[in-house]
Amino acid sequence: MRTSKRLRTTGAIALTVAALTLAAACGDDDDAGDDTGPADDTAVVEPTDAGPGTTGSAGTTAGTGTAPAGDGEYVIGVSNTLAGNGWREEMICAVKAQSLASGSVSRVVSISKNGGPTDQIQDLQNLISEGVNAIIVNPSDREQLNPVIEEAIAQGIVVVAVDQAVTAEGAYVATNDQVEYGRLGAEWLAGQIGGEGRVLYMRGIDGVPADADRHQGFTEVMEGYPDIEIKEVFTGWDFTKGGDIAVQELTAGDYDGIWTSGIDYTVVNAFETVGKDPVPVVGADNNAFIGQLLDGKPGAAVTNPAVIGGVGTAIALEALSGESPEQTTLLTPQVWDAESSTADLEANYFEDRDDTFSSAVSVEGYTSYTPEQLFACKGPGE
Amino acid sequence: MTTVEPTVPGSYDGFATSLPTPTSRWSRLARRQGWTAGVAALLAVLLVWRVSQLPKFGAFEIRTITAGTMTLALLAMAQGVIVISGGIDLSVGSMMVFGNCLSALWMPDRGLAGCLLVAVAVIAITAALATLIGAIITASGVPDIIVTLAASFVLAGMALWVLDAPRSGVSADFQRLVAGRLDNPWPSVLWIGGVLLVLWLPLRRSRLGLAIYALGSDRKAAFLSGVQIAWTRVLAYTAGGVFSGCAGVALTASTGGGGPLASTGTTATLNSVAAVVLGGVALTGGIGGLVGPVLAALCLTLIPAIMLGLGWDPSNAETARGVIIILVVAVAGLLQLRRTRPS
Repeated sequence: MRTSKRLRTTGAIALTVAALTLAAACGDDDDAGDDTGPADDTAVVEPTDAGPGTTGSAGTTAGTGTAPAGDGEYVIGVSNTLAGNGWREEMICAVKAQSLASGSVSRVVSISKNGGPTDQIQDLQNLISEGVNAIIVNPSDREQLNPVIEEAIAQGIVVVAVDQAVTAEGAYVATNDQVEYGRLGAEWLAGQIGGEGRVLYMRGIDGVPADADRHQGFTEVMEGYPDIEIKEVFTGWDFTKGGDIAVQELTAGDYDGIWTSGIDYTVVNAFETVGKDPVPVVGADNNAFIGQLLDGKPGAAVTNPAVIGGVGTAIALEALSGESPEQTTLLTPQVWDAESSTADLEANYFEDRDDTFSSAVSVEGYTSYTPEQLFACKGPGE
Repeated sequence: MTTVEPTVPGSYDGFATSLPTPTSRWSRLARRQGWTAGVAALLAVLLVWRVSQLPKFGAFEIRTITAGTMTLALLAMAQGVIVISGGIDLSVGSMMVFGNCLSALWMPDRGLAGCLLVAVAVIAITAALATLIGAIITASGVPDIIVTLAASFVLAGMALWVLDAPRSGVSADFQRLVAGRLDNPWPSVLWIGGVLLVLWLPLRRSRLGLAIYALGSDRKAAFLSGVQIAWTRVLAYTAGGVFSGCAGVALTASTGGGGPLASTGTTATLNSVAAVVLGGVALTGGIGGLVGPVLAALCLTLIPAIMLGLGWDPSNAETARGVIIILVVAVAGLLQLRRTRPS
């Protein structure tokens, strides 16, 4: 009696488990069907070149992604290891939007979750197993991913590292020029304050490559201005913390200008908190900051486009179509201030977007989607 | 009526405790290995499912699963042996990261032999540190969950101190020996199996192994049976340290370097607990083995991959993974409850 009961017990466990997973499996077969349906539709659009039709700018891809008709149907994989971060999410949306706009992609498979190089190696291997044609990766390490990236390339997959570089041979790299980011903002600020005075220098996180690069650019410029006194602080790229530091610093003393590593709009708000007149603030292309500049607050936005993901996609599609894009693409930031680039500021302010939305929504010569396609954040077939 | 020899069990109703009914070989096997068999069945289902998703399933795809599981499997063993002894260790992940950083510091520019020597040294160091943690728990009387949580922060700090930035450049021979080429699943399979056979099996069968199980089942009873409670507790942590060290070295081999990222350790610790629970080790101690957690680790690696194949958002996949763990453990717990209820 007991024996059979125990056997039954263990059998039941196994069965429950099996049933559970099978149930989940069946439930998702339908989804898979849905996925392929619309995907085929977009594929049909592409060869007919119905540009102004359903897919918007599919026909006007600015020379990129014009895959020869017939062998379209690419699957693009995305790997990101910082989830829940607005900038990174926008980066992924740009991959989806560019894939949709190009008309030559059937599906975007995205793996976006928190982790380090180990997790990302696993993610990349899973993408390779999925049979993707190209991988857009925001690498968590310069070197540790190389073996798996090289394996992907050996299997004929196009790999584009965006935002940060990898050293793997054969991988395309598309990054924003962070040294230039530091330099351009510093030059603008030095000019605004007439080459003398006190500057609050609000950096990001010590030891992070992007911070080190920006510091290099900033320092090179400031060496030419011995009359500028610099007070250095670290914000940890945290908007709340940056705002708090600004309040403390502005309460304690006066500054002629503030350079921030992208923690901008909370710093502008700090002037109001302490009741002082705002001085020029250098920030990034955060939506709220663009709004403040349009509002007449002194300052300049240095772009650090999150849509680098779209640039990477354009490069990947170009490589897939048999052309040979540049191995390394370094995007030079733009500087927007209210005096000389009001049009840019107006074109890149989106009232219904979040404060920290990266407002530089397109990169000339690479991206071809509309802002609406980016905001929708839907890839082909979704 | 009063002087009948108690040859027939149960004939003495109400007078003395009856002898237990001898159980059959089958029921013992079912009781001991039932859960493991269940996890193996789950793994089989997941595997078939994954294979059906992929355009091709060859050596590369197999290695993706096995090598991708290797560190978690080893870490699950570390957590498993400690949980069996009635404890818990929230520092296994940080210990792994520490071992990873230490080996990434010493291994570059060394040949295969040098790397192996470093690996042994690193495992010895993590074992020593884990012993220290075990000793602190036993001597201080502070609950293990608190000591190991604190230790996880200390170890994360030590990892940063060893290596302030990611570092690579570990000998390719060593990488291939442990993790295998990208199309060779065998090394990872053999290392997981080898550690189970060479380290765990003898330990389980030894006097210490028996003491670890006894300690986990019932500390007082173990004490009354002459088990050296303090020593056994400390040595269980030592064994955990050996496995964590192996996981750290395996991590170095699979990435070709190391990085002091604290979140890697935290995630790994939580995954190790998940694998242990799913693998049939009772958190109350004394029940289960290490084969179950290893199979569970394979399942935990497969689930996100399957979700990816289904086109699920990875954050939903994480939720699904959690739900599966809760369901499996809850269902099993209910069955266990039914089993222990007097019939």
